[in-house]
Amino acid sequence: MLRFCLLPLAAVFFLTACFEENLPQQDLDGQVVVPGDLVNDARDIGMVYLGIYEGFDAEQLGYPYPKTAPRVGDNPIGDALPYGGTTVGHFTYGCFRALRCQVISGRYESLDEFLETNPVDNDQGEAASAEDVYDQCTWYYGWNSLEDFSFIGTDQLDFAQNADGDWVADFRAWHSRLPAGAMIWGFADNDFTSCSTDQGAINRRQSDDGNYFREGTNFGDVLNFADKYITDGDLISSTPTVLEEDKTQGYTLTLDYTRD
Amino acid sequence: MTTTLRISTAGLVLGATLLLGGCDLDPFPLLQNYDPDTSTLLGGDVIDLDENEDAPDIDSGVFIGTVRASNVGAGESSGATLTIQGTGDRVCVIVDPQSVWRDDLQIDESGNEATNPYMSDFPHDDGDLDLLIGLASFYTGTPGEEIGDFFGSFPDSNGVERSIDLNLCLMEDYHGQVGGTSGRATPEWCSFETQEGIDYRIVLQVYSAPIDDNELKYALDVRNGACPDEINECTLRGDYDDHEAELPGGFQQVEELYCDAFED
Repeated sequence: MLRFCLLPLAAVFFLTACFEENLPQQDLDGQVVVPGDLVNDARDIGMVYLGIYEGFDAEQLGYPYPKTAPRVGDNPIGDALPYGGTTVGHFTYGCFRALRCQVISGRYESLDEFLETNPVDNDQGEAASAEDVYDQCTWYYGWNSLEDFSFIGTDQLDFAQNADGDWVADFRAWHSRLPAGAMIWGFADNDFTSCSTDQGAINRRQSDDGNYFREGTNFGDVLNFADKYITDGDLISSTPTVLEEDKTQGYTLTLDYTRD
Repeated sequence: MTTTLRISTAGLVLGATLLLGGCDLDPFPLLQNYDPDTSTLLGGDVIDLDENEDAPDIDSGVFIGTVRASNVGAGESSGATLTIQGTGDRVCVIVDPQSVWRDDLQIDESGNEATNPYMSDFPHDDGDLDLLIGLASFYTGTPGEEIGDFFGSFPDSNGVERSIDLNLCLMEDYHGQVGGTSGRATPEWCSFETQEGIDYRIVLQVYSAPIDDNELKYALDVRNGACPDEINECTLRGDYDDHEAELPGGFQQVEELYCDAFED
């Protein structure tokens, strides 16, 4: 009796593996390069936004930018209508409220390195030590050891320096349309303009400390209206990378232009 | 063996009882578009205001209208449309759906239904309208027949079919991001530049209707120029039902009660 039930079950199980959805969306893999002569320290590279766009328009804004749809209503510019995109690093809550929208994941090897670029005061109003940060983070997130820290550690680093001294990071844009002729374009938001302190997760210790605040995260339309968030000092790709037919990996995008 | 059979039988009876219990619930009265008088579901009731003799126009004053509930599940939106002609200047449109959001808190700070018999009633007279505006030629609906939007599509240079929203009524959300809409009983508004002599369509799409009578009153105002810096529940008046119950302070309707207290 049992074998009569198992056989159809097994058939159904294995048949599911044969199902091809034929979705037009695919993952796109590549590397983003930040020239070493523009950035000395990977901690200075802000959140990197990468989008896949219809085309390139070097004229409209006076700096390298994707082609946009027509401007609608009071929008300052047209929607760039990305096919998809991703980021290298993301805004993370650095355990102290004062550090909201100041900390990017994948940039810090140790707590000391973290504190060098993100000095913050402890509860007594003194400069926090690495131990203070450790204590605060383990309390806030419930982490038990430094290995648990989601934004500290050698294995967390996004960027590595290559033989030419340039900073290189892998990226993957999930589930995107990848038509031949489209282009990858991106920028690094080096001054956190694209982060909103009014958004993101609610203070997960609200019930303990009685404070209501948001941890901060990126605005939702950065890839659509990147111009709203690109400011002086941000790094931009001046030469977009064009997608080839049926090629989903091995692309390189260089952020070689500094907005000024 | 006998014990196993008894447990199985008991389980079956229990399961059947639980399932049958679910059949006793009639979910239709819980739907916002259920009409208890006819035991039917309302929806797809679209009003063409252009056919009104007193159709609102730019600077014609506040218009009070009524729309009915949408059948959200069936995708049959109810609402109203109005066509205005561009002046070459900026035009502001304000719509205030019935009636007052959290009027219970205004009336009774205790938040206690036992001491405030109106509290459980007032949320039932709230509804939500979404405001869309665009060039009449881009409107995908049919006035008086079907509610539409201003989405268009085009094949881009890579051969991919793209969708673009040509809605000119850009409202900011709580975070200052374009694309926000107001919630229940809260005004929506926007202003936009017009081209002289060109038709623009204003669309009021019913998101939810009061469940006490399935009718949503609204106040609509179309003004020349930019919108005021501050717009609130009391900017437009008239989006209310007269209450049968007696209200505190001798008021006849919640908006008057709310706004008089609000202005103090």
